[in-house]
Amino acid sequence: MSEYINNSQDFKVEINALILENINNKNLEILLEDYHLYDISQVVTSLEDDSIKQFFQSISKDYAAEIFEYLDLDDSEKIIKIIGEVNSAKIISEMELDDAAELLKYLRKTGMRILKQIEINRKKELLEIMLYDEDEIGSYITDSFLTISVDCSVKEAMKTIISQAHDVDYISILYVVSKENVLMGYMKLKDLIVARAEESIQDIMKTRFPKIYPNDDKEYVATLMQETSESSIPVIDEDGRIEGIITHDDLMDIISLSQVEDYTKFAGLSDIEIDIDQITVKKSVKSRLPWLSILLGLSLITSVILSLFENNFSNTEGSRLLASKLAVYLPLILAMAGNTGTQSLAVMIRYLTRNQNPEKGIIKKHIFRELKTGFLQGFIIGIIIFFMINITNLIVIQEITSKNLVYALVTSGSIFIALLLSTTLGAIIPIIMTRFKIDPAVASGPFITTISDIITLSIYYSISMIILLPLFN
Amino acid sequence: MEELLVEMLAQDVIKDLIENINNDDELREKLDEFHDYEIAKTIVLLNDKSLKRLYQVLPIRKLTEVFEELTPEEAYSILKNTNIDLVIRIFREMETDDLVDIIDFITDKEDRITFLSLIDHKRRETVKSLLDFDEGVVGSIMNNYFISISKDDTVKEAITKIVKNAPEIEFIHNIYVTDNSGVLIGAMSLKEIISAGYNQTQVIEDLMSTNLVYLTPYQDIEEAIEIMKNYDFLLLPVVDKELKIIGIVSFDDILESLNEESDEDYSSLAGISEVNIDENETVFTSIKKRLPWLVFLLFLNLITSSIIVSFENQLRLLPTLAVFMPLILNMAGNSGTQSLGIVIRLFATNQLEHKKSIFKHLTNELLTGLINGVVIALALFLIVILFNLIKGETFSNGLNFALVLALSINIALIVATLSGALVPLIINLFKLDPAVASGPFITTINDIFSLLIYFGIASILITSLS
Repeated sequence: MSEYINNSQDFKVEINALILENINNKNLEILLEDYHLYDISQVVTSLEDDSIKQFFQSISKDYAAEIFEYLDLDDSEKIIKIIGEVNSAKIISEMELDDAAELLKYLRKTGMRILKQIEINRKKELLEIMLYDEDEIGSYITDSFLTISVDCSVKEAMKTIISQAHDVDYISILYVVSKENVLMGYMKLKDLIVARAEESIQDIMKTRFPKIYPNDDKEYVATLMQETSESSIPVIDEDGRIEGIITHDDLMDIISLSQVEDYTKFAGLSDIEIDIDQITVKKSVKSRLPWLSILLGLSLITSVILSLFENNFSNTEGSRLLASKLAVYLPLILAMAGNTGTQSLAVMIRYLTRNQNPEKGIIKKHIFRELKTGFLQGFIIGIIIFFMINITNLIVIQEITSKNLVYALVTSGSIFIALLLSTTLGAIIPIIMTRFKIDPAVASGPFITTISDIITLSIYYSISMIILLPLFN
Repeated sequence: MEELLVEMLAQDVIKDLIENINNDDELREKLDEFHDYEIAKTIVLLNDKSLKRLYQVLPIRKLTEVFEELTPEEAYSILKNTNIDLVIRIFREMETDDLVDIIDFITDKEDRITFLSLIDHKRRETVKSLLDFDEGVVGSIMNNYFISISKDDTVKEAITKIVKNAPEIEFIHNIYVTDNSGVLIGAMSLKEIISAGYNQTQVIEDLMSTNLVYLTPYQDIEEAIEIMKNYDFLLLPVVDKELKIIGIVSFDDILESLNEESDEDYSSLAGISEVNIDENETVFTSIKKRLPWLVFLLFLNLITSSIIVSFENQLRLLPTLAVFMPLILNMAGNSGTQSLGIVIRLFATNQLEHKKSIFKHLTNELLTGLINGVVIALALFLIVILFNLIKGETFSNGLNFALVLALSINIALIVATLSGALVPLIINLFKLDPAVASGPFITTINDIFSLLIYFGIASILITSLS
């Protein structure tokens, strides 16, 4: 591990020295050629404001655009402030479409002003991408790819590729199109390389491959790309014309972003900062307090329910005794129900993330399995509790009265029902949410615990009121 | 005794043959007459030159059988100095149990991972499971399908090599350049080689880029994920201690690991041994994954029951205490889960290795708990006063009770937030399985703390009232 970090740190030190020495050198770009743009971008953000200004004066707009593609949005914003909006507009119009659109969206008003200064055709393209919702795959479209005509030969295709490879980022997969730009097939560059020169593209291209529409959900596309192991996937419009492609780095962003988001929600947080140096108390409070407040509201329902029962349990000495006895196992029952709910919730959320839109039959199978799991677990835990209570009674008061036996039976029976219900609920809630197009990850661990508290408590106290209260009065 | 003599003799004869016969076919034929065992006993005595000659002549099948006859110790000491391509080919032929023996023999952790990663992908899983291998390092996800060219190749030669290898290899976006001893010294993208196609006599060394980002087999997958995300690479080369290239990691392997890492996070937060399921999951396997945890938690929860038993008198005097008990426990549990959620991520990304960062994080959690505690306590205070007014209690009674609740929830939240971060750290310190510090475990621990706080404060109030 240290090896990698050292070697990347060395690069940064070298880059830093190189930039500072040649900051007004028009050949700076060529001098930096050997370094990776990511390292360069990280060094540039750490420079003084004046140096940043000079740096961007020395390099071409093309090169600046490539550096921008590796910058975080907030770093880009900082640099745009330094180099001015006019320069930024020139750089942004050279950036890849999806990165440029994302940046402009992030900049809000500044972004709109910059957009106005961009050449009309590019502006139109950018606007189109910006209009897609962030959940739609359209906002990730790249236009840097190669198309070859369906009627050319392998030799002609190679020629096109060699002449265009310089200007295009992504050439590993070539898209075969008709004269009207309708996507007909695709070819991997490696297959083209090994093909015979005189063969026609039409004969050797592959025609069965995944394609998507710009309005498709990004997580659906990510799953599709992962399952097919494709490193890029074409986006087409309703008439089958190719609009752009989605590449592997977009895929990586989509997946890691959605996983962090899901996990964050599951832990009952609204935002997660995973870099320890960036964590501040303010951020922590901001990400936790909103959820805690909502959960406080939900938790109050437990208090309301208990206070409704309170009157029934405070009239006589016997009922007061029962109330205190019930309280003894209350936290245990609630905790156990919450635990099983959290377990089945986690299992279901992960399943739904990995398998978008599963069939109805499979869903039924899952629910049925959770039901049986809950039943068996509830039964086993219930029996353990039944014996525990009786053994405790034997030790403490040296006898098992019929009253206490019924009490043990009610408590373990309630645990059984509670576990059965919360295990099933933990599985059903995310499914229902998906039905209603709500992100199932909103059903967090704390959320399910609170819901299961409410249900469990009602069950325990209702059963006790009906069966135990007459006995103790 | 006699057998031993024959063996000694054979060794000399074989050595002699290798050193003196220059015709490949003749040597191969002669060697074929000897038993694998005899050749194996000879191989440990050979010098580098003769070894090279032997590798050249023996078919890979026969060579593998010879290696299978060696003790793991001997096999490892020879393979250690053998060309990596050959090791990969021998490993491909070798019986799984012999492979396990060799890997198991290697004591140096880094060498062990490196050798393990040279086994082809499918069988590596089996070997790993037989060895109880530590998951989560690059070596377990890398594969050997990459194209490497020599720095002295011309563009034309490079393209010929690429064309020859392309059908077998899934991703050829990057071509790796090595020097004569296999050390990785440069890389080129396929795009660059193709654009250089105009001038086919150019030498690769003049074209390649030399500032490489690479992985080692014993590096954490989390780090590989970060590198791939930042640099937008589709492939990353993996090198051994001597910087020789031994494999690559491709983006689809990384994505698969991304899913697995995420599964782990969920498993810890939900208190379940494996969160990933498919359609064919049976009730039995579900229960096996969950019930052990539940039973463990059940016994832990009995502590809460015994705490309440000892406060039964207070409960009988003030039954309303029970009304707010679930609320306080739930809120404490929730904030514990939140801070645990962060710690699990920090652990996974190895950010809690220095005392300084641990201290910083704990201070941060303490302050967060304090602020959240005060805000939630204030809200609850107001709600309880309202609650009591509706119920028709006297204002002063209600005020006292609201004070108890607000104070309890305030302290409980601070303690719970802190313990969500602290308990996993302590468990880690004692080298216990970190999975023990799951969400439900933390919640139960916090239940215990919160009950003590709640009833403790309430008893003080009751005593002062009476």
